[in-house]
Amino acid sequence: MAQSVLTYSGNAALPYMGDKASDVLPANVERVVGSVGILEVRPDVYMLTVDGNNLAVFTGVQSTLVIDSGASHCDDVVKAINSIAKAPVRYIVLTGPSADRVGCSGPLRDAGERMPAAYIQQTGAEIIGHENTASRMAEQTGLPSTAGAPEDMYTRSTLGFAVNDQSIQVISMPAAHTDGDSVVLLRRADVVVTGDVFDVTRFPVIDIEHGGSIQGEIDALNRLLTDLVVPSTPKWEGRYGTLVIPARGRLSNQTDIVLYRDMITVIRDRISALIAEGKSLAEVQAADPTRGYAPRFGSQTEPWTTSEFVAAVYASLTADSPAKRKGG
Amino acid sequence: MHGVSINTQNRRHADSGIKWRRGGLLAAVVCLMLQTSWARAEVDLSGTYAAVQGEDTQIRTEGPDFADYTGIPLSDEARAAALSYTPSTISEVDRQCVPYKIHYLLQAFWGFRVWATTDPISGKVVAWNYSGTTDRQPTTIWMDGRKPPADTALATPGGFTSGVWKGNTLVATTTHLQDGLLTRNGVPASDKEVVTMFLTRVDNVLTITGVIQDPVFLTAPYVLTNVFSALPNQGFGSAIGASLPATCMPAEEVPSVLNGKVPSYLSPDLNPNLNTVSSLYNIPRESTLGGEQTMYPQHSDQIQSKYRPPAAYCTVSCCGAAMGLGNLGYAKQVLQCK
Repeated sequence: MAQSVLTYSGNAALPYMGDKASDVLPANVERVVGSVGILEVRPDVYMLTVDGNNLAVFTGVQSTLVIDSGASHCDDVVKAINSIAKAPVRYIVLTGPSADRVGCSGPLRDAGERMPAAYIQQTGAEIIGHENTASRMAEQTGLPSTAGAPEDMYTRSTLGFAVNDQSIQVISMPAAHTDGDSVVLLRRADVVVTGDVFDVTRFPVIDIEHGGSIQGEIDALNRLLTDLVVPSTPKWEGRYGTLVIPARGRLSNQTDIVLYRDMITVIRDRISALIAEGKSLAEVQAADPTRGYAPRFGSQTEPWTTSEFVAAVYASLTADSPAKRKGG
Repeated sequence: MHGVSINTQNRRHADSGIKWRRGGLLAAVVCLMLQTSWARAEVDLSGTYAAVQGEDTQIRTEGPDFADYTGIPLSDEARAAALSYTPSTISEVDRQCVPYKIHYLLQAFWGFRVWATTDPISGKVVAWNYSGTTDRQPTTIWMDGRKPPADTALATPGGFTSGVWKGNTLVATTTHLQDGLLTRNGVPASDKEVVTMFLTRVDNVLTITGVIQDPVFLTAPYVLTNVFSALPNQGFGSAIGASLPATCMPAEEVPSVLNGKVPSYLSPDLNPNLNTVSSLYNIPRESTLGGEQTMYPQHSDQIQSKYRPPAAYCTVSCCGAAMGLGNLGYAKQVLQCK
């Protein structure tokens, strides 16, 4: 077996006939630093989990790149990253404006060190994000004081740059969770960080007031499947194919996104049909359009109840949403 | 004489008591030895096995009928998900090659191969492995007591399995399973599922009993069994499936979901197959839609007054798959195929 299997993620380190026991490797085990769990998903690529929120770290001899920041236990997040970093944190990409993505970006920036450049006087790591992420962060009143906004903003459909030996693509997913969402592709490692576009623990949060929409969410999931996330062959082989770091929950792959996309599409179509029958929001909620999916992805308690999700989809599909007014 | 006789009789009783006690002691020692060896009775599971056909034949070949969940302890929500399911769902390009979950071993007619991975120094069995098929992931049962992966680790259709011997039965517990299907007619299975399999080999017969627990979609443990027969001349890659290639390349079978549609019955209550099983077999719908109560023997008593046997014992799916396997004689005998 390839040596690289030693550090690869997944449970699929399967022995084949003729393998020695020493070739058969333990499945990945999480390390814990303070409140932060650390899982190596590919060589030098880590998924960190704090209070259920995921962030990603890619490190190498020149730089460390952090994608999202978590929202709590910021000191532990910095310590955890320092425990795996081979070089200073130089870049932080924020995939969206929600507190769960940006909450600790300030302390992370301050603990980092940007690439030396004679004409730039700023210190700390460079924060990157879509322009709308910055503007939505400026609008929000409930963000923690530790949140640091992007100073290096992109407005095109993608932003590409290289860190260590890795090409990084930051790709805009317009009008999904909000209108400032990005997903990040680590091309060589074949890892995608989805931000709030994909959450393996719950229905997607559609932030209507900040430009999110159900159609944008479905488009984003389809874009992931058509352009960015490659299935393993065979499908169960966790060493191969694209690994997906979701906003929350366990490490995922193409199958997880397919099932999620199918579910969201079915729920959208159920609610669309009810709207076409002239049902009000209360009547749609009473019709239980998440039947069959709620035990797995729904919640009766804040934040983000099933009822709130249905209301957001309903608003997104009727004229009463900013994205709809913009033609989104 | 009488007294002597009594004394003799007493002595005999006393002797027999001693003998009995000695015998009891011997039996206890033998039992202890047996128990000790029994506790160590690890069985060599290595071999090539074919599934013994006859149990749940239709389910394991052409598949269960639409909307037939009889005997499955599914929740109301799971039933709704199942009634939303259409077979076209797995014709989506993105889903064609997704394997069934680990319990498909107990729900299909494929055979498989078992082999050990041993420590090269001590010779101890580190893991038992059994082969997969195109639609089921191979499985490794770790025997070295290793820790399971983190909760945040990748989940797969085969999950992570560790095993321990209980007497001559290998008890294998699987976690880290990906979301998927419990049955081929759409009953869902969550990533919280835990599957425990009991593998017992006696002579050339391997019996596997699986207990499926899913706190998301099942209200009680769901128990399945499958019996396999060692068949060393089965050959690799045969139709019986000791080791089918585990590759799969999808092709367009239904219109792409990228046009915005996913195959589904949007309203579970309007599933056109809701009454299919009732009309075929005259079994009341309350039974065909499953639920915990339909698992137990008393359920057949409860529905007895509502059940009318069909005119012919077997009217649908009686012969096809069994004949396809070349078991025509068997099918004729059991399924009354003409």
